[in-house]
Amino acid sequence: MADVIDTDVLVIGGGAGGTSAVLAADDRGAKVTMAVKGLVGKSGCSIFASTIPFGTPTQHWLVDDMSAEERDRHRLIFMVRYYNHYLADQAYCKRLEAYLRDEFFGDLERLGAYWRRNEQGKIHPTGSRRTPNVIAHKQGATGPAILDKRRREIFRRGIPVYEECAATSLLTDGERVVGATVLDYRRGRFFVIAAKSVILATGHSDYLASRSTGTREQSADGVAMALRAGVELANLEIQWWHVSDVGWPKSWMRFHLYPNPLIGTSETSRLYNSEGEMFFEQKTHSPGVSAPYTEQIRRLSREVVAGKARWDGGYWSGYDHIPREITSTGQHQAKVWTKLGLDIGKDRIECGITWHMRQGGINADTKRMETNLPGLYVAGAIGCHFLGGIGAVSYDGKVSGHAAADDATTRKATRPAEDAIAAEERRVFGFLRAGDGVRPIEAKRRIRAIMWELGYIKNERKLEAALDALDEVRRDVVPRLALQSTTRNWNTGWMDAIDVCAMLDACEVTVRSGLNRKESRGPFYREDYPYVDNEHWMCRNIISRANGEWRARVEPIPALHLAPDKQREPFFEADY
Amino acid sequence: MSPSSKPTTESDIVRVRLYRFDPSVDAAPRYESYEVPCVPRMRVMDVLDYIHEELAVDFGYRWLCGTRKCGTCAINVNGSPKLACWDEAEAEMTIEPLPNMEVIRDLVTSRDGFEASLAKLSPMLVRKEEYAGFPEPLTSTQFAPMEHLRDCLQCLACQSVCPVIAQGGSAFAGPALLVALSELAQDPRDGADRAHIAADVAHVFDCVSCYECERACPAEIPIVGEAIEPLKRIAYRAGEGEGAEHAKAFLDVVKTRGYLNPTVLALKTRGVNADTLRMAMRMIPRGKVDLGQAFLERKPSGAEGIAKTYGSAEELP
Amino acid sequence: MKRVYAYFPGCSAKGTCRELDVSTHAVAALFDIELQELENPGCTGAREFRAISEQLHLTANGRILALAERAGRDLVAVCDTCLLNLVETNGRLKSDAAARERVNAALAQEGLAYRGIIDVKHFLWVLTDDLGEERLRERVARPLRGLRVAPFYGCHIQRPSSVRAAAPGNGNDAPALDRLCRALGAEIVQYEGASKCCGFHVVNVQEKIALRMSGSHLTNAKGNGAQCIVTPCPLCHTVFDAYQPSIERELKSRYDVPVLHVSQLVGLALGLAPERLGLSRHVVGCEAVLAHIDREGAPESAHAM
Repeated sequence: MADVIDTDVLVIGGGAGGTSAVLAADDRGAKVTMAVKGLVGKSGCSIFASTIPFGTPTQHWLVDDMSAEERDRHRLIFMVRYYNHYLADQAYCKRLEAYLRDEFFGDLERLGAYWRRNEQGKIHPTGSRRTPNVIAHKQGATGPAILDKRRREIFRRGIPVYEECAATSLLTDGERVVGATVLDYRRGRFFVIAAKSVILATGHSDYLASRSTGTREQSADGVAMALRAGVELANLEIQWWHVSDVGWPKSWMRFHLYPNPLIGTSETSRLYNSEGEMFFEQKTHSPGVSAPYTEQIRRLSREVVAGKARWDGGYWSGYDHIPREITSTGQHQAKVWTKLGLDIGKDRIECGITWHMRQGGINADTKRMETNLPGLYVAGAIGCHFLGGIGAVSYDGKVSGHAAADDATTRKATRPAEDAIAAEERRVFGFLRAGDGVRPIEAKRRIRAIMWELGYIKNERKLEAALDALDEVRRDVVPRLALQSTTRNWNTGWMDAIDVCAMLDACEVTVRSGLNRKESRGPFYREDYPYVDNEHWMCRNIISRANGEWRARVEPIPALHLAPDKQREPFFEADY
Repeated sequence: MSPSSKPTTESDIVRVRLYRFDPSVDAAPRYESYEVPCVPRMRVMDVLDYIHEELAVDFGYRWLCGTRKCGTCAINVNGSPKLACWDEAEAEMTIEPLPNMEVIRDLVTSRDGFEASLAKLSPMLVRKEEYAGFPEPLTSTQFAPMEHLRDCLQCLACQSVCPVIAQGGSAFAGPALLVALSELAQDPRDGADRAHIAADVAHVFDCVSCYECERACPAEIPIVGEAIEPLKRIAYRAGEGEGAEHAKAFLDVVKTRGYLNPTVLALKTRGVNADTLRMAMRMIPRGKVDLGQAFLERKPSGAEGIAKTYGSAEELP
Repeated sequence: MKRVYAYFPGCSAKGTCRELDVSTHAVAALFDIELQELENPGCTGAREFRAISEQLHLTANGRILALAERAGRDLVAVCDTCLLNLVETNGRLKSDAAARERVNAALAQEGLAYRGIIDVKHFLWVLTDDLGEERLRERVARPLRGLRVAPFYGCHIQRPSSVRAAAPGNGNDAPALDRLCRALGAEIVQYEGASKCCGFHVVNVQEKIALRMSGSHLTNAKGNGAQCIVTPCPLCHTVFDAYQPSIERELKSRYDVPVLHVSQLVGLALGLAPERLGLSRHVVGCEAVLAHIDREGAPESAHAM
């Protein structure tokens, strides 16, 4: 029988959302335990944060010539329209605003974060006037600086953290969540964490397509575990793509050549097609939007269709129109050029698109971050209420951490049922078999190829074809998975096999959700429904599965503070 | 980082000798050979990914971000530490785990030792005064000395090449730990007794100043000059540690004599005991130690000027 | 052609390793090199001044540089650690106006000023590059044919990058010490540890660390057939030579590996008598090396002294 560890609040995930939730729950006096598939503050996409957008404390900016009202309005526009395409919970946006203004920066500074100042002590912003960004340490390296402070604080408090331990399933008692099964893959040890409250903070940047910013361990486990437990998910099809990511070498597909303004200037990089024609520059085509990815990919798609670019190459990003002195100082990506032996003042880098962050996720009530499964909460980008970002997910962590801790005091500890634990143990160890057959990494590659093939330009036929292809992997390949070794020590193949199942579940539900949304919006483009339809689809497109049956419903999103200009417009004309 | 051998642009094939060792089943490490088609500007990680993904070899390797932010993919290539995601592949590579660390499997090493050592250094800001709210009064000038230290990825490449750690028997914390400690010690908000921690917990004066850590650092941090020496200075000001006493003795001899007389210094620092007597017996007859010069020398005429000039400088940071 | 340099022997070459100063002058004389020793230069501070204050480190080294500038000559050092201290300070003061001002404020008390007009070199580089390998080869009177030499460079002539940049070829050439050995006809022994650390800078406070580090290099060098070690740094020399019996005790091994300064190896190959090179001052006797040269290297020219 697997060991069982008891706790009040279990947090699954070690990024900005998870670390925030852990500290918040601990602040409330709960006994907290953390399980992280990678390493706290090193895995997931939180460390990719270059800057923190929509920083609020304007009186401390270097230069500010905007009134507070005007700035608030710009922020709201950015959050609701450009960052979330009107799919964000607008009441949540207002609460988030207050958190960013009053708590976020101070909470981190208290822990020792250094928000970059100038010599006079003023906060040194980057970004546009409308949505200034703040940096801790350097542009391109804010994430690691922040996450490391949280990591150290968690350890200082003596909170038990299980790293390189992947949660494999949620355990329920039929009514609420009672814990999770976990595999420590360093040594192949399977155990259980029994908890009164469970917070999923597994992020949104999953390695599900051939080119993906998702880090090694991100196989959408949170989505899969939630789906299997009957939890509702929403808007999974709203999947962002990066456009200006390094094309090759392949390992550098995660290197993002930021389209945003460089520190201290309004200058931005440019994208050129295979004929050298510039087709995107943020300054011109998407001013004031510090995440112009939807516009980038819309414009790229035109080039691809015209044969002047491909999805995995044939177009370039460059800073050669900007003086070297500006591009070489204080930011991370100048080193990309140097390391490749290129001159940032002269050379352009070939790019490819990469499957990036997912706006949708688990459906939760944002007042307490609780899902339709009692005892299960979300923190961060795993939710569907907001795209993500370190500031927002930290807010979620605080809300969910407090709620989960408070609720835990009212709950009795329930031991998870032994048969459920045993069933999951059999499932997990079932993959630990050697022999001829299909290596799990090949199955992973096949799944990623399916999602890559589905790509950006979608239609019903392609979505259905993707479903069929995924189903074939599930029926034909999974039963034949076999490993090279049955060692329990860091068995990469074994982990791949478990990940394959999570990926299949997550990809299937994502494609199904996409079939249900009959419009285009943000990064989601269906050529069979090439218009934004706010009348019908400004909503949470909700999907779930119970007893093998798929269920779908929609929940309209009220335009509490900001409404779209048009009820319906052609996708390529909408500027969000 | 250390220079590479033949660049991949001159080769169609990358030849790899890959270290394999599973402590739970293997008696000893072995090496497996692989050939990987070369792609221009290939990183070491591309080679490893090819072996795992295309050749379906289930070996253990750790990486997370792939973009030089997490520091988890550091390994040894041809005897030197490299960040697999950042450094270019070479045409012939022997790929091994970082040395001087426990191997979990193949290229994956344990970070537990590092974490345990880090915990001993109070690796969190210990505020002198209670936090008064955002933004606290700070300037970029105050943080300029730690600018490079904040680039640290904790990849542990420096730890793996430190000869003091490698030879064992020392409580020296090592360069990565000292970078973390130095960032806090120089933080104007910090009020912990960093001098004591530096000298007596981290044993900063055990650093031999070989600069191997700097050579290995993928973030190009000037570890010795910007992390370690500031810590020594902090310990010196507080009079913490034998190393601080030794430095003071060194300076005193120079100010008195106008130059460093090694005999006088050795006596001041080590005193007269069996070891120093043994050394003296060895060196005096051959003239390596000149007792006359050590004890009977008149103060040279230039010593006063030196003492004055050094004296005005030593009080400054 | 007469070459003139300002010369900073450093505290080791004037004390524990006086034979280094003696042999340096002897070799310089052979090549019509004049080494003008600086008067009352003080100390570069080893690694100690840096541990006290950055300003002290810059001022002490700036002072030595200012003295060389007053003589109007490039500065030659014979110790790796002196070299690094001087090279780094020279680079820093040339580029950092504020630091230069602070140093000059201190130096003004003695009527000195740093202006940033000279370069710093190791005497080894003077031989291999100012003079050149060809010139060295020409003057070899007693080739070291077959003498198996293990070069030990010393950390501070190799690292960090600032000292590499000051080296001939900006550090991209083969190590100067290797080129020197070859020019003299020695056989270079490859061994692990050649470019590693001897541990000198902790020998007074953590002797065992230094003994173990150097012990492993001795073991490797000897194991690969080295008859002697040659090093451009008297601090490394001190650990390997003066501390060799201590190393033997610590590692329970016997070595009997003599350790030569660069100028001594050059002097022997050029036909200078051992007495003129101070070999008898070493703790580890050099008889075996001398016997090898006597046996294998016949005098080839009338330049023998």
